Amino acid sequence: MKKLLLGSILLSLNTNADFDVAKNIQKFDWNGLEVTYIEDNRFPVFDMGIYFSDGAVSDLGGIGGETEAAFNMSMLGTTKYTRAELSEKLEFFGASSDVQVTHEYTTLSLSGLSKDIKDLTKLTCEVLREANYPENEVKKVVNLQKNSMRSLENNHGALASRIFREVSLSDTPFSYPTGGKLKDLDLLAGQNLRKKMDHFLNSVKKRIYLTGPKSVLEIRSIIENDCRFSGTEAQFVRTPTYNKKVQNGLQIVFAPVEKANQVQVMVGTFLNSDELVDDELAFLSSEFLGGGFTSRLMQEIRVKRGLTYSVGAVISSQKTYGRALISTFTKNETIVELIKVIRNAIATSRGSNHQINDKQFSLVKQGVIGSYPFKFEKTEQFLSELMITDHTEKKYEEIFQFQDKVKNYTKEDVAKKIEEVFNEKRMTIFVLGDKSLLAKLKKLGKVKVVNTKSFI
Amino acid sequence: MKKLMTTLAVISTSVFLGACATQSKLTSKVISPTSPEVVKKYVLDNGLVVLISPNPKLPLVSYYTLFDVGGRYEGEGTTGATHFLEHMMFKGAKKFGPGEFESIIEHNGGNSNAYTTNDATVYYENIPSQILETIIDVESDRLQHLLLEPNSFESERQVVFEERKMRYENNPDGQMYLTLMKKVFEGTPYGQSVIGEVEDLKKLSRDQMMDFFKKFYAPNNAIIGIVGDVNPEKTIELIKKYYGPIAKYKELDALKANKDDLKRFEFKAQFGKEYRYHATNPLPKMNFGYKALKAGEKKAYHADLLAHMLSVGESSFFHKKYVDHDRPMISSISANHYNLRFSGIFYLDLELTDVADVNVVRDMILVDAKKYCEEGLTEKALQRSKNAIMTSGYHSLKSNAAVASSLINNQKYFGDFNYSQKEMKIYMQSTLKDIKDSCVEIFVKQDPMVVTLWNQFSKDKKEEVINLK
Repeated sequence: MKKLLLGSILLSLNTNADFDVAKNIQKFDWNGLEVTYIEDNRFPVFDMGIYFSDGAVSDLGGIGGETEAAFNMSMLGTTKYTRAELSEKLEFFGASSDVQVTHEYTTLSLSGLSKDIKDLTKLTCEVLREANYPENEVKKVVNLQKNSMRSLENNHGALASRIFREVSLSDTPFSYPTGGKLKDLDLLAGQNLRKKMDHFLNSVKKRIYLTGPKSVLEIRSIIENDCRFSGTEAQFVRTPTYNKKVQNGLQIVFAPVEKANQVQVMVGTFLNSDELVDDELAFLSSEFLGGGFTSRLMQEIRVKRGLTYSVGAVISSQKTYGRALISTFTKNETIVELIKVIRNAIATSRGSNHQINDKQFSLVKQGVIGSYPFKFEKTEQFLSELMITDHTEKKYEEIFQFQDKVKNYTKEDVAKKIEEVFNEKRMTIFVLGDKSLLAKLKKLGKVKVVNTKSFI
Repeated sequence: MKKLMTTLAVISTSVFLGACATQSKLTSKVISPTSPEVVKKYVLDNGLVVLISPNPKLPLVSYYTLFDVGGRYEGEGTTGATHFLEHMMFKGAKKFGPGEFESIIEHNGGNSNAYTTNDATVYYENIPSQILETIIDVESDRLQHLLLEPNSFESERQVVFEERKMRYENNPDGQMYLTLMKKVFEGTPYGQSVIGEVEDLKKLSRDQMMDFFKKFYAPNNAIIGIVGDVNPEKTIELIKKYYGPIAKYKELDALKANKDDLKRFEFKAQFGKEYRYHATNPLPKMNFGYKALKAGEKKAYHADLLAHMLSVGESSFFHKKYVDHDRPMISSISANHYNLRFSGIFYLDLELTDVADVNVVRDMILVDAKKYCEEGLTEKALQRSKNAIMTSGYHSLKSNAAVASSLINNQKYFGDFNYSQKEMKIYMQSTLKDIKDSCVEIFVKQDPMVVTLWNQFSKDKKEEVINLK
C-alpha cells in the first residue's frame, strides 16, 4: 500500500488545538486514485464519500437533471439484478446512501457497519457499473418525480429558493436546477443515462474519503478490481467557464402566488470567479450580517421588531462561482418594512461609512474563532470539509490556519467585503407571496413579475 | 417510537452480535457514552438531577436542560403558553439581562436553542468547555429570575405567529401533523397544538406566563445532561454552587399528579370516521391514525419495528404494494409510530398522485390494512429493520449533543439514563410473532381515524365528516 502520510505537512501546520482528527489524516494512492482516510475506532461504523469532479453543468446543452437521474436511477436494475432484488440486497445491511449533485461536482456517500463495508462497496460498484436503466422503471420514477414537482407550488420556502437561484444566477452555467424541470423528465432515456454514468465512471476524476476502523481500508482491492476506479485513466475535471456576469442596478423580482399569508424574501448577488478570495473573511462577514442571534440582521429584524422567526446570511463559494444571499420571511403586512430594514442593515454594515462598532465586531470575531473546534466533532463532517477543500483546489493548511486568519481581520475588512458582495448595484431582491403585494412592492422600485410555473 | 429511534444508544457489541445473524464477528468492545461505566448521576437536595458523561476528545461541551413541562399542562385558552415561554427564556433575566445570553454563547463560538413538545421543554447549549461555569451561572439565573420584559414579550408574540405560519400553516406536512394530532387526541391533554391557537396566543398575558413559569420551572422539575470535556467532580461542585440555593417547588408533585392522571389521557376522539379539510395542497394528503401505546411499553417497540418493516425503503412492503407501479395512486406512504409519555399514535401518512380518487384510495387502504399482518411481514424484513436500527444507534452516539439528549430524555421517560440499552435489547430480541401480534392490535382490531387535506375540498365547510362503515 503506497502510503503518502501527511505527517510532514501536519507537522508544519500552525494548529491552535492539537486535535487528534487533524493528526490522523492519511493519504493513500490506490492505482492513481487519491484516498483520504481518518482512522476512527470509537464505533464499528464507517462513512465513505466518493467524489466525482463533474456535476450538473455537464447537462448544459442536453437534458436538465440527467446527472442526478443517472445516479439516482442506477438502482432501477442491472444486467444481473432487478430493481426489487437490488433494493432487497442493499437495504438489508441497514446502511444509508446518498447522492448529492452540485453544478460543479457530485458525491456518493455510503455509511454503515464497518464489517459490511466490503459487501456494500462491491454491490454499490456493481450497481454503478452494470445499471441498465430499464425503460419501464425509469418511467415509473419519472411519474413520481412529476408528482413531487407539482407539490412544490404549495411549498413556498422551497419554491422561493428555486426561483431565486434561477433569477439571480441568470446568464451563468449555474442557474438551472440540478434536478431539472418538469419538461426535462420525459426526455430522460435509459441509453443516455448509461452514457452519462459511463462518463462519470470512466472519464471523470474521482477521490475517496473514508473514516472508520482500520479494517475499512480492506476495500482497496474492491475499489481497484470491482469498481475499476483508476486515477491514471480517469482525469476529467469539470471547470465551468462563463462570461463575467454583470448586473446593472438593483433588480426586484416578484413571484405572485394565491392566498399566501406569509411572504418569502431572498436578497443576493452572484459572485464571479475572480471574486472568490478570502473565504475566512467571507465567512466572518456573513456571520456578522446574519449568522446568529447577535447578528445585525437578526437583531434588527427579529429582536427589535419581531418581523420574522428566522433570517440568515451566507457568502459561499465553489471552485468557479459564489453566492451571497440573505433569506427570510414575514407577514404580508410588513413586507415593505422588512425589505427596508434589510437594506438599511446592509447599508450600515458596508463601505467606509459603516456603523460596525468595536464591541459588535469583537463579539462576532471571537465567536467565529471559538466555533473552530466544532469542525472536528464528527469525523465524517470534517472529511466533507477536506473534500470541499480538495475540490476548490486549496490546501488543508488553510483549514488549520482558519483561526489565525480570522484574528487578523478588522471591521474595515468586513465592511469592505459586505460592500463588495451586497452592493445594490448588482443585487437581486426576490419576493414570493400573495399577488396583492405587487402594489406595495412597486413603491420600492421597478418590479419584474415572474410566473412560478415556468420555474417548476 | 419515533422520538426514541433517533436517540438510540448502544450497548456492548456482544448484544449486537447475537442479533445480527448474517454478519461476521466483531471483536472490539464498544463502551457507550451513556453507560453507567461512564455517566455520573447526582441528585441535589432541591431535587435537581444531573447527568455527566465525560468525553475529553475535544475542548467542547453540550449542556442540555429538560423541564418536565409541555403542551399537556396547558389549560383551555392558554394553548401555546409553554412554547411562548421557551422563546421568552432567551429574553433576559436579573443577572444576565436582555441580549446577554446569546452574546455569551456566540462570543465564544457556541450555539444554543430550545424545543417544546407535548411532554417536555428542552434547552441546549453547545459550547467550548472553558465557558462551562458561565453557562451554569446563566442557566441558573434564568431559572430563578426570568424578566419577561413587556416590550420583548409583545415583540416575541409576533415572532411566534410567524413561526406558526412557517411550520404549520404554510407547510403541508406540518399542517397535516397538527390536524391529525388535534383530532386523534381530542379531549385529552395532547389534543391541543403545542405552538398554540392564534386566538389563545393573542390573549396570553405576561402574568399567566409568569404563573406558569413559577410552577413548572423549578429544580425538582428539571434534569441536566452535560457531555464533553468536563471533570464530573468539579462540574457537580459548580452545579451545586449555582443551582443549590434554588428552592424546590413544594406543590409540584401534587400539581402534576392531578394533571398527569392517566384517565385524562384516555382516547376520547371518534375513530371510524374520515375528517376532510380544505387546505392549499394541490395533491391530496391522507393520514390513517390508530391508537397506540405510551412510551416504554415492550409492545411499543414491536410497533416501531412494524412501522419500519412496512414502509422504510424501496424493498418495503408498502413501496412494492402501492408505489412501485406504472401509474400509482399513491406517491408516498410511510408508517409512523409516535409515542408520547402517556399515550401514542400509529399512523400511515400518504400523498396521493394526480390520478388518484380519494374515496377509492381510502377504501382500498381500509380493506388492505386488515391483511397487512399476513402479507406484509417476513423474517427477512424484520432482520433488515433490526440492522437499520443498530446502525443508526451507533451513528447517534457520535456527537456530545446527541448523547446529552439521550441521557435526559431516557432519565425523564423511564427513570434510567441508560434505558436505550434496554430498548436495543428489546428490538434485537423481538420475534416475527411479536411484530405480527402488534400488527393485529393495530390494523385488525381497530378502526382508524382518517384525516384528509386537499385544495379541492370545500372552502365553506370547516370540516366534513364521513362515516367509514
